[in-house]
Amino acid sequence: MLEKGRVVTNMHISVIGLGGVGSILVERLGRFINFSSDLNPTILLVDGDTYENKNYERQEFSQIGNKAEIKAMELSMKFPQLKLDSFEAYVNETNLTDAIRTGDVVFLCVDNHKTRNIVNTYCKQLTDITLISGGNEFEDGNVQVYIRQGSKDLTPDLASYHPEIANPDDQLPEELSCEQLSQSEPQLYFANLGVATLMCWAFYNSVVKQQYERSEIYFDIRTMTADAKIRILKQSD
Amino acid sequence: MARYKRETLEGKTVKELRRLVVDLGIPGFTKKPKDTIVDAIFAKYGVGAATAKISKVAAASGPITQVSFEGESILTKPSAPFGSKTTTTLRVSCGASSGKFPVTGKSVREVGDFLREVLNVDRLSTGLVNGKEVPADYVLKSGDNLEFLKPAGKKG
Repeated sequence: MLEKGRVVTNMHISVIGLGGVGSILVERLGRFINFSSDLNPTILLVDGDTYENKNYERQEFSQIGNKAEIKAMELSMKFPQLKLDSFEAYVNETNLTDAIRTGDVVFLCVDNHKTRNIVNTYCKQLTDITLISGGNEFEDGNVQVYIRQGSKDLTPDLASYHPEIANPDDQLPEELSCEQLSQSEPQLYFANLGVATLMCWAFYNSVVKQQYERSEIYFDIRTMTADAKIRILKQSD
Repeated sequence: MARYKRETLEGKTVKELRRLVVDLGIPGFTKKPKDTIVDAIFAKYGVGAATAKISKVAAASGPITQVSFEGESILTKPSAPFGSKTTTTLRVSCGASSGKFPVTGKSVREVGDFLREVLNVDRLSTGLVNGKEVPADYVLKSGDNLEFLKPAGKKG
């Protein structure tokens, strides 16, 4: 837990992906940090996508435009204490160094496993990182926390227990055609909200309280259940 | 072991049902409303549509014949000597779904087949026992905690 009265001034937070999960998450995270006496981080919002009217059903934006740019503007007006920046691009292997640095807290809110794989692989090479990744299907989802300190893993990385992330069968957004991009699968707003909420819990536990015994949590709206898992480091980790 | 049709249970008085839960060793239901008692008895000793799916799975996967949807320990032999009255159950989970099931002595593969529909277990899912990956032929022991890995959510 952070020492009382100690203000963390050099923390850097990256939020990668501002779709259904990310656009909800940053509003809650922004409010928490704006009124926190312990945290004073710089928050970098990262997304190459454009907010359009078709996103209105699930995503929280006030106007059309690049999602990272619009959301940074909205948050700065709403929460003046926040230090915000935007990076208007999809992350890939060549620009990751602009989005993530060692020591960062990274919220990974993307909609494909290939990006998760690229970010995870990059984070495994850093000395210190807190990577919080979330994703959902229609009515369920999960959140994982990967923590690395002093070049040692404290929790398993995202792919360690998830072969679908280690060997993704999907594509990066920039590899998709316009037609493929427009044919996204239907999603439930409440599932996005569930993931965003659990990512906030993960942030509170791992960063504010510095507790990370349970590094993965699943939820299922149909059964009204959530279950946090203890993930053991594998020999190969 | 006696099996009851739902209609038979619904035809009984509350007093008769309360006596029956005691006789069947189902704890915690003697002061519950009639519908709740009927559901509790039917879940453990019922025959008919609700149990057909489970029976079918059990028949296909071998000798496991009973499952507790509530994930509670089951008092299966109330008249047995002390120490032999209950069936040991293990916690089995997949994603957010979990329950306690009488699967001690069964292999991870058998349990996966048996609970595939109950816990929505993927056919290719890896089994973790007490957090560690195990082969599909691993036989579960008392005190084990089995998790079938569920894939991470893709969308966001």
